Amino acid sequence: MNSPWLASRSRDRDQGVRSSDVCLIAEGCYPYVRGGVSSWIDWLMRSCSELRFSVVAIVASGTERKVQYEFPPNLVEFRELELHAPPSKLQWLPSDFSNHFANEISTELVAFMKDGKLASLAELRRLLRQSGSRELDALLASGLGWETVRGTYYRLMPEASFLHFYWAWRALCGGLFAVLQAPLPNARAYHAISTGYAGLLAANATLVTHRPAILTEHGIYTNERRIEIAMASWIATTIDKGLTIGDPRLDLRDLWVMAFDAYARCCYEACSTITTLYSENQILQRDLGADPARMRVIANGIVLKRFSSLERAGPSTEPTVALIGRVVPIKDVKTFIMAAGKAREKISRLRALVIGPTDEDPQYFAECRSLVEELGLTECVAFTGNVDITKYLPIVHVIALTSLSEAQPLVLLEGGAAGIPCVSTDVGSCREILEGRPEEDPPCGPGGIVCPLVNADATADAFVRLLLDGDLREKMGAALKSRVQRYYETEKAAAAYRDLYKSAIELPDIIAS
Amino acid sequence: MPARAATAVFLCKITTAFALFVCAVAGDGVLLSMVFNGELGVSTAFPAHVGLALVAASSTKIALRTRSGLSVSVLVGIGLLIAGPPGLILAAASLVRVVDAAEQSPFIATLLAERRHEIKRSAAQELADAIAAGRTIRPQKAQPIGFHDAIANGSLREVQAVLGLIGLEYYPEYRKVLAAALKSERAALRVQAAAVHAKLRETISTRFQSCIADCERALSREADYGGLLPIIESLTYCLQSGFLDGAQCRRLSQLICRIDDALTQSIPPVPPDIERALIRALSAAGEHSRAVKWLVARPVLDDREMRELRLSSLIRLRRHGDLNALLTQEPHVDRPAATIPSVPMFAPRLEVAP
Repeated sequence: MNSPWLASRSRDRDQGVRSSDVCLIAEGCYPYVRGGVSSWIDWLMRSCSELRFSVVAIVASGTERKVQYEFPPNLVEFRELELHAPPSKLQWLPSDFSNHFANEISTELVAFMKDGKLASLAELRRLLRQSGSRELDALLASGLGWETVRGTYYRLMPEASFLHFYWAWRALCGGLFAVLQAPLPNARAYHAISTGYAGLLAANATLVTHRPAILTEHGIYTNERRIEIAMASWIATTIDKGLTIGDPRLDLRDLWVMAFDAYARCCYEACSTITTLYSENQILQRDLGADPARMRVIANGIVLKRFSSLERAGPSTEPTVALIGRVVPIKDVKTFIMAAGKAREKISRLRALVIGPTDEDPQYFAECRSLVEELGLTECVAFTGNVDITKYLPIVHVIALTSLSEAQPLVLLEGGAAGIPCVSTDVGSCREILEGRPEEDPPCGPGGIVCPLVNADATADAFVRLLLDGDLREKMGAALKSRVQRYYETEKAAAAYRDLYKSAIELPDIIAS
Repeated sequence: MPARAATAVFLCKITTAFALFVCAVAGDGVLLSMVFNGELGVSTAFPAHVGLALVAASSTKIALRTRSGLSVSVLVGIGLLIAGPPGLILAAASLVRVVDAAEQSPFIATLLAERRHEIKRSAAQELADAIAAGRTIRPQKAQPIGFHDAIANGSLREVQAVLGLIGLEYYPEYRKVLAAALKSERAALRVQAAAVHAKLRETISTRFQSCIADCERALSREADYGGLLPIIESLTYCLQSGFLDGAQCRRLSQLICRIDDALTQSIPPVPPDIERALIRALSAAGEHSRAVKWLVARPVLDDREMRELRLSSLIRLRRHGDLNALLTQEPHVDRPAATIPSVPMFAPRLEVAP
């Protein structure tokens, strides 16, 4: 975004001073996607109003983007980093190089992909600078690029299809090279909001600026990518391994997984503090080499007073269950609809609301609507669109969350702050929120019912149990409210991050070993 | 010297001369082959041939030791000079022409130049060779593993690989593996299993819809079996998938029964592969009496799978008399172990069978 606004806001950079205290690095979210991590970034900047922030938004090139947030006054610099050059720009560029140099790059690239060491990244950075390629295109579409891809292919996965490897390499290493060549905002500390390319950029920032980097993971990026890659039909299977899973030959899926693992390892090594929202995530972080001494849990919080004074739905109101969230596949809205259909067999007056934006995945929304029609639930299920939830919570008896994956869903905390019990799948920190941590003292008791994933029957049973038993509903609602008040207040989370930033900003420059 | 003896001596000399001539021709052949192999130049081969002709002529003269021997030896030498060198020269000339022609052909010229390392091979060629070399690497083959074991005891990576395989290619037998993963203690697995489940649910739901449409179209075409086989197989797959609810399963069962009715009334004989698919579909739909009807009517379908289906259908229909008759008649039949204990009444009768 080269708007005059940004130009004026980044003028400090040219004067040789640190233009911001903290540079936030976000991938595929803020400020273009609403909700989730984007909202969190917006909250973080507004909560630390005494600090000056810069933001690097890593995006895929060639996509339409619209800013969804009004930038806070303490955001002094905003940059975009496009990862992949469109192939239409490809033209063969002459370059002088020796085969030995290409060999050196591919050897280092393979070493980095396999180990994800920060030292390998530094060496790669040095070699790229030595190549003299100032533009990514010049590197990717050149004799040097060709020799590098050949060398990498032969070392990594010679049994797989070269054609497929070439395009995968171009996507992965194109992103890697783009990150290594990207100019960085001048900041006192860098804060990556995920691993992947954001984490890689933070690792590169420590090499370039010698300033400390922090990592916050809401969900575990590498695990999410691994799930996506394992099932992706757009990744060709070029080696027939049958039903074996220990075949040492690398195929394209292995390459993608290996690359994201390497980026994560490198980021964990580079970051001085690694935070996440709940303790279960730390198991996966440790698996990829995160140092336990640098790991911390900082739970998200909410503004309690916004919800605690809301009225509660009484017994005379139509029994209402609400799913609050975007209508997208990961929220598994279809299981919610099916569960509502099954619960309606026992509670004829049941009303099921889907409260959240419906425009992010129009096809999925259309499928959900046709499911509602197919099950004859047009009078029972309603999609409200993007609304102010505080206006709806007073008519809701039970909050539902059928997500396939979550980190720490704020909707449970918001419902809990209003004293509404929840039915949730066993994902992310949902069980921790509803049932409490083992060390909770005194225990608040269960604040809802945890259900198996994609199980409409169990979800429907939980709805029926809570909707038909007023006492149980009251008891669970009160327990959840008490837990949220005790552990999940927004100011506590903001204070934790302020402390973290303070210690990172005060650190002297890291001397590269 | 009697005339007979003189004839014999003459024949002997002629034979000797002929043998020497043949030896010289053989020498010609050796020289010629050396020229073709490039071991001997044309300029060396020609004097060698002349020398060979002279040696052959002198040898003939010595061997015959007669007055006429001189003329014969001269004849041998001239013969060799005429028959040998022109052949050699012609061969050499042809060889030179062939080489010239070959060098003018771009393909041969490149090939020869490459062999002489005069030109660099293209990057694409080198890559193709590298790929071919890579393909020849054969690491030790990994063994297939039990998916249930992997879910229960495997590492995170192993289980994620298993779930990935299930997500890419699902068989109804994997349903239990997926269910176990959904209940796993490990949160990362539950999340992935849920994602796989949601994807498969979508896929099968789409297949269910298209199945119904295809089936209706096929049923409207009388006595036309084209395309019926994949439809029946698809119906069976959807029914067995475990991703459809009761109402959807009932709808598929009705369609299978309609196909059964149509094929039962069909005048042209039903192809055996469609019959088999239909029997499988009827069994999956729980329409065992209809399945048994086909199995009894078509003994030609009597293979292991069909016998097992017949057996399990009879068990489910509780037609114990027919079942016992079947087992008595065919004691070798494979008994589905999982289904037999579910019919306790049947147990004493089983003992009758050998």
